[in-house]
Amino acid sequence: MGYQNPDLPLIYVSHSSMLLLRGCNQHPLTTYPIFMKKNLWILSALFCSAFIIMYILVRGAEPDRIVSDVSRVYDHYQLKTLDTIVFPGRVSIMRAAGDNIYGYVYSQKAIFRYNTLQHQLDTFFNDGIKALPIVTRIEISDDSKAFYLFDETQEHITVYQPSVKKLDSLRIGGFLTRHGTQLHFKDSTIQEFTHFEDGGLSADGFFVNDARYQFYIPFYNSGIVKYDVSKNAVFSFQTIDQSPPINIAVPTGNIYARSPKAIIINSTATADANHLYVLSYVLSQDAIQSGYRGPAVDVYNINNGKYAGSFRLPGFQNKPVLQLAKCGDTLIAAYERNILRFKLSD
Amino acid sequence: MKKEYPIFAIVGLLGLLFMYAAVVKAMDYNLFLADMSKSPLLVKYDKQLLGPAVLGVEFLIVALLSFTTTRKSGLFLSFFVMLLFTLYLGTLYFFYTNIPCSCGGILGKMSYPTHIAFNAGFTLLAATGVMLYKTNNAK
Repeated sequence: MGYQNPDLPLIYVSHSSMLLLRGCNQHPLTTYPIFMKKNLWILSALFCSAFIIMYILVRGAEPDRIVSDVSRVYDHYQLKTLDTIVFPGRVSIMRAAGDNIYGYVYSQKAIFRYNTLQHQLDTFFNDGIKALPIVTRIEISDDSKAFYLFDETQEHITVYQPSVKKLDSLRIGGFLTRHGTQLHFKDSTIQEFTHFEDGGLSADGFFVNDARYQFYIPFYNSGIVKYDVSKNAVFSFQTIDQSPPINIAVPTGNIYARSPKAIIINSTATADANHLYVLSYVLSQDAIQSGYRGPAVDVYNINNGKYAGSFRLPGFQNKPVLQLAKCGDTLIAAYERNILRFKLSD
Repeated sequence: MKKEYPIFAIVGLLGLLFMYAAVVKAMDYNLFLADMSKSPLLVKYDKQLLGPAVLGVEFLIVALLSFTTTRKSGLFLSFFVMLLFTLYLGTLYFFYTNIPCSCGGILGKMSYPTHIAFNAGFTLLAATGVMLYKTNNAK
């Protein structure tokens, strides 16, 4: 019906008579229902226009996930939750060695250690040992006696030997590092990535080590680099999505920012003696059909790079998985501050 | 006179909001353009045109709301722009994982659900202003 003022008689008029009423100095409120209707029509038209504009924007939008033509195979692996450990903050880097899980919590500027046998959490490294503004990468020696802590430039490495409480500094370690579009081992360039005018942003990724190989896994494309230190040999293989490198940068003044094309493919990974486990945000055909939007862990044979199967990590408090680690048959996943341990059966 | 208070409050709040949003964007214009460039919904559009257009519309709304003769147009335009911003943020929040927000100042620091609710509130406020405006104008 429309607006009704209880103090005034309600008069509905046509457009032509409205002009007449105005001319006769009729109280303007008597024409209110028509103006109300007109306003509502305009608001409705604007409402529809806004939806049409949004529809056009969405039709022309970049997808926020990479879609792959392949379907993942889930019948090779089985996960069983063992326990949950709460760290005192968001774990941005996690490593596992022996019976210990090490997690770097930036808000505390400390690395915490959890012993899975004693179920005890303690501070492993903090400002009291050496003040580090930020730790961007942690590597552990094969005998677990030395810990290599990288700064934001990845050019200064702090070596910490907890058993003797010894600190040292290195400029170059026996680890892969990336400088722009180049992958270095010690002072040698072992791989050159596709060059774009993006300050090396499209080649951004992370490192995974196992006893034999060192891997570089890009965030935004499928090309994994495998480096065999003993043979000084570089190999590469593709994740199941086969996404090529593209320019993902937007120039912003003197820096490059990530554009909407910067879609995360591989977010974190870990390795054991036989397999590389990559947490992938690629939507496979089975996920599209089932409406599943979460990530999956894709397993690759580290000797030949072949896809060996996949499994899905269970959701936990709606938190994303930030880090993965593998120790024996135990897979460890960091869901922000919560660390979940799973028994992974092949 | 008392009946005019609500419409004055609505016009004042909308004017302040658009003035604040436009000034903050203009003060860090490069960041505003960079944030827009990151939006998956706007990737096909020229940011060098879109940037001035958004700022221009926000300043235009402030100007329209400032004068009695154009106030109603300002309210309509406020409703339309706030509705667009709400839908834009809502689409990014519910359907995309990459959610850049080009709003500066305290608006850009809000969480996305809060920001969406804030925008929806101001959209309703603008619609209420449109509906109330005739009553006050007619008085």
